[in-house]
Amino acid sequence: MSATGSGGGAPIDPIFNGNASAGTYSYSFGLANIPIGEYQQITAQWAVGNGRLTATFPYHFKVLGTYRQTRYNTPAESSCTGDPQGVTVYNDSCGIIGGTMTSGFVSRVAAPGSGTGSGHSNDYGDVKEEFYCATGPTAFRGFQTITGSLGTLNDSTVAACQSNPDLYVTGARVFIQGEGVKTVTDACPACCSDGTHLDNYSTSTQCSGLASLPNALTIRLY
Amino acid sequence: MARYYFVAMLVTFCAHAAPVQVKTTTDSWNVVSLTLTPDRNPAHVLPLNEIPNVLNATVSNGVTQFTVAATVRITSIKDSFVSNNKLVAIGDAGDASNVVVIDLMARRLADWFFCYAPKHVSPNWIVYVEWYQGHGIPNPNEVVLLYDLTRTPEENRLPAAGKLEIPAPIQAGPVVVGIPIYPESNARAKSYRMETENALESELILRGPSFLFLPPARLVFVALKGHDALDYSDYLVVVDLSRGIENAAIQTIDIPKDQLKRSGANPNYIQVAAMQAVSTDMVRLLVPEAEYGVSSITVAIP
Repeated sequence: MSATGSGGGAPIDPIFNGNASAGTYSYSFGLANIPIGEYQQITAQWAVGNGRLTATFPYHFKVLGTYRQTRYNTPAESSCTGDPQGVTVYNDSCGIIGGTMTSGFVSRVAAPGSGTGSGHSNDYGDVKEEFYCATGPTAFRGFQTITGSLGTLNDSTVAACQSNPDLYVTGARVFIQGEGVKTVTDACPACCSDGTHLDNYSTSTQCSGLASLPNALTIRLY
Repeated sequence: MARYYFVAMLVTFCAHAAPVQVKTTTDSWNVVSLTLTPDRNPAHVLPLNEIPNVLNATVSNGVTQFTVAATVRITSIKDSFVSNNKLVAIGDAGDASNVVVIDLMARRLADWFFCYAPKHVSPNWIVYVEWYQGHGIPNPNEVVLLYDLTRTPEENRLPAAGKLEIPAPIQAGPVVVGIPIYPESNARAKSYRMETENALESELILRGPSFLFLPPARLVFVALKGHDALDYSDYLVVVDLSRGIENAAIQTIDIPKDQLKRSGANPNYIQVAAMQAVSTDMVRLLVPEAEYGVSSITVAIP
């Protein structure tokens, strides 16, 4: 039994070779050794006596390799510490509607390199970092609906580099070894720098300390 | 080797093209060592209790050797060079990239900022994508910025950058640094705005091919538009800076698909993995052979 590319060609994942008595069996894809590449079908060949049989099942997936798996969330200001910090909060018309947030929350949402981009504020509803009305680490837009660029966010969604042709597709499903199947619903510009990187959303609202997941084999499911 | 080839080409072209203000590196500094160590000074603790680094740079110019230290946010150095008596370190800082500029004459940190995909494209120029937090932004419009090492840090900022101290305090997150050269709307309006209300205008810069400098002063890169990878279309952008970085002349060029043996999953989105200069007027785009049946295509650059 093997998983192969189109027409039985490469890549080839030799799932199982051996003898078995009559019955029903489950065989693993052997993820520890599965070659990187795009698979189109599962083929089973077996012999009983002098008879030889072949069955093919179309099954499309693409093994992308081991990806770095970071996590992001939407922190709650109430879970952050720090002193009140002056900020500028805009509404959808770019009018200024406020101006103070907890400093730890400001950093957690807006800091380049480690910010989440959005948060649950104490006074301005859900906020996003502002890039249209103004630019800078103390500019926010208040009373927003927090979603991903391609869909809703939950514990089973991930963000991917926007230029990734395999992953940045509305509704794209990925199998992450150790995590299960998740859906791409958000953009991750930071994921473009190393190319093999997904950012996993978490519904935790903790301010900091959201640890990365282990690097994991990542497979695009079609 | 490629960098020296381009410097050589640049010198040749500059000798014949008077309007170009690109200078070759004339410094004779030698970087003896460049190290990063954690900065345990309590006064330098970052928000959320993160620890910055101390960049220790030992340099020599044949007459004198000294070490300059600066507290920085950079966590790993990917590239470094000296130009105009400035030592530049380019590297990572969390999920962003980071550029550090040290003034060797003053022996102090001169400037630093966060960005994406910075590249030292010519002796005096660093080109990069303006940093933004990408999660949840429906219509990003990525801005290409240029940092000119012949200018002061102040001259590398638009008035729109505001009054943030230069160099920025270590706890700050400077991102609006440099002169916008693309998109044309940002270059003309001298704006750092990187989000658009119109989804059709949303544009991204491909990181894989990065930025390629062609003499006398053209910058080539790949950009794309679309909602997601199924409906993207990409193309080459040529930014001619021969009349000065404030006067960018911009052209877009279709990627010639007739050189491909297969069209790929999305015929309008050619997966360009890298870009090389073939000559001063031609580039080679490296593409996945498994997808297109060829490993590269060439494009003439006007």
